[in-house]
Amino acid sequence: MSTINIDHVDAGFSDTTQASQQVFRLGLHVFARPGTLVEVPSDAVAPKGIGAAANALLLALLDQDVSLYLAPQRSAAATYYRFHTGCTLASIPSEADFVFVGIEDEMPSVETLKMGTEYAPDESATMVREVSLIEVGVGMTLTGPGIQTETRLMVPELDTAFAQTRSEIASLLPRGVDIFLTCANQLCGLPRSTRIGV
Amino acid sequence: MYDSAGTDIARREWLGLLAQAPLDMLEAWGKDRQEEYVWLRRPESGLAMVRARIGATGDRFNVGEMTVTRCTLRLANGRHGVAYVQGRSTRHAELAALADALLQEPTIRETLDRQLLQPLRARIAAKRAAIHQDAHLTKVDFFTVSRGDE
Amino acid sequence: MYVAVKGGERAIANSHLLVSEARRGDPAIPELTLAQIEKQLRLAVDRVMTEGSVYDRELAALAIKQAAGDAVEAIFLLRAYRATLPRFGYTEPVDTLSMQLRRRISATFKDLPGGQVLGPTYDYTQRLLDFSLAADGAAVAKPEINTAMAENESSSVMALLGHEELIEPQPISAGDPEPNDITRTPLTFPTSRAERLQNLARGDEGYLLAMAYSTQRGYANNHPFAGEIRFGTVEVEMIPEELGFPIVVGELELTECQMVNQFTGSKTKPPQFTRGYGVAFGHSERKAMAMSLVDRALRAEELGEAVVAPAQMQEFVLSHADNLEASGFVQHLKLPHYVDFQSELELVRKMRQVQADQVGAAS
Repeated sequence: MSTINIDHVDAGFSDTTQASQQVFRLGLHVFARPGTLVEVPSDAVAPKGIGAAANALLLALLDQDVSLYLAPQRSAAATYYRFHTGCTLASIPSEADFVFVGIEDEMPSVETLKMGTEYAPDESATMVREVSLIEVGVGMTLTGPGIQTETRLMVPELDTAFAQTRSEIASLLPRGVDIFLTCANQLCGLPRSTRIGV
Repeated sequence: MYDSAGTDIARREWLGLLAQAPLDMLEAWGKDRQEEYVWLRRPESGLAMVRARIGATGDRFNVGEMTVTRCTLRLANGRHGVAYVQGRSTRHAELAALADALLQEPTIRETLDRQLLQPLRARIAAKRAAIHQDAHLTKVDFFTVSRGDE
Repeated sequence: MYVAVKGGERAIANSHLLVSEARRGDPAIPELTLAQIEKQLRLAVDRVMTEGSVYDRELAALAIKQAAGDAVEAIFLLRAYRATLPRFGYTEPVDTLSMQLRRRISATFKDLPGGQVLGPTYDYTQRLLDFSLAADGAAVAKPEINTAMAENESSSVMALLGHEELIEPQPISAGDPEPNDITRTPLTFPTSRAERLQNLARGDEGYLLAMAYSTQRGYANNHPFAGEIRFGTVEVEMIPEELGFPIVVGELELTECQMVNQFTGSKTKPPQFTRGYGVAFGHSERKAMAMSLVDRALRAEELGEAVVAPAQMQEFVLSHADNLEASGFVQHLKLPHYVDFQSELELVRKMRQVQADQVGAAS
């Protein structure tokens, strides 16, 4: 166990229990209704380069039983999450339970992340992807559980290669990777069961 | 003073004293203090898994949990106060963390030591002496009686 | 299996009121305070803390009050509360060798360094009901202080035997391995000794007592001696990550038992004494002793002994030790099983019909 230097750590939630439960509820909602957008309230001071929604999600979901992968340059954020949640840090994305990818960070290919097993599909990674824009009603089509017919979602950072990989691993269900898309205080869910068409 | 591992020995001692302080002693010291601080982590109660060693000297194992309350605050001058205290008193943790932050201030440490830490040291010593005395009262020396046919 | 049923909300709400009323009893009699329970029913508090697996005297007292004194129900309440709290980490291993002793006895050596300290024990009482306790307000006498106090000396009995290698050593394995926490990763068999001890530490006292008793009556190859029993307080330390060094967070009362068992030796090991270990929160001597006997019995495989008795069978002993699980599974039979029972009823009717038809056809 290494020491956490708290000299430059900012504050987390002022009311951890209430805030975590609120955020958790929103997380459930966007996974149950893929492609819908919600705003996440948060009074935590997020590390640089991490939006309020992504930060709130990570504060709510991480604990000492899980590991987080952050791009190597995000050492201040790493300290922040270690201090506030007790999580451990993974050195490579494929070993992490949670993977945060910022707008400028390199996006690890989804199929390299933990996808769980047939026996324990829950032992898969959850990705929190910060993006520059989430627009509903245009762009790629989403179908699957929680979507009446189909819905559309436009996210500049998610290209056709991403959609391609996603559809390739779709047949592995119940194995897979769940993705939260965040843009500042906005949150949108892309669970493993959602099919993406271009 | 630092030990070979670079640990601040004095701070280690006072954090232990503050954790074991009764709330009324801390309250008597801290209730009128005016220092301003911000929370890095508000007081929260939780659990620590208590470990022991197999046969007292062997490998570690988990015995069961204990309640612990912790918090971290930051004074205006940038010093941090940390508390990890047994039980569920958020006020205890808050006062202990405040005392920890102030005790790191060399100019007031001596005063605080006299006001707050000395009585805590004395209290713990008295408690230990009382337990030891009670135990001593029930100390026996068994002697075996040889049997008649031996 | 049971199927959900609806209805009965009002009856359930009224039942809640009735159980509260029954718990409180006659309102003309003063209500118990948590402090009274904590201080005057300390051994009940200790048991609830040990098996509830949370060291917090006030919470245990509250659980006992709410459960109207039912220990297993109180343990359930404490475990349920525990599940709502975040986990901050693990403590450093407590050092029971530096325990501040309130009691320390050995049944193997009369002249142990530091002497035998009886402490507060029922062992030498006559077990006659003391009717003076039936009267309120009787003062409790305190023993007179008449001897000079020696320094607190508490070197362990195990160390005495260890000098001649007459007893198996208990060193730390290479790298001081991190034990699996069975509250995080459930048991899989075969188990490590650390996992077994965690399971036994929270196990039901009555169950462990019966298991331990069975080993003494011959259902395992056991000939135990109470090498050392300690009760006292230990400081407990944690290393907060933001500090990076250990600090004392508080103090625990613990009971520890080192049981010594004869071992005839094997091809690779000379005859020597082996050990069973027990530890429990508070003053829980019966529990710690029973635990140490069961711990030793469960080491049968490790020591090359034949596994023939129930107390030596890991899967049997460990799977049934938790009174929360046991009580839950037994008591769930009270829940509505109307649909299951209807289908079984149908089945029995059919079988009876078939049998009746066969009898009819034969005659």
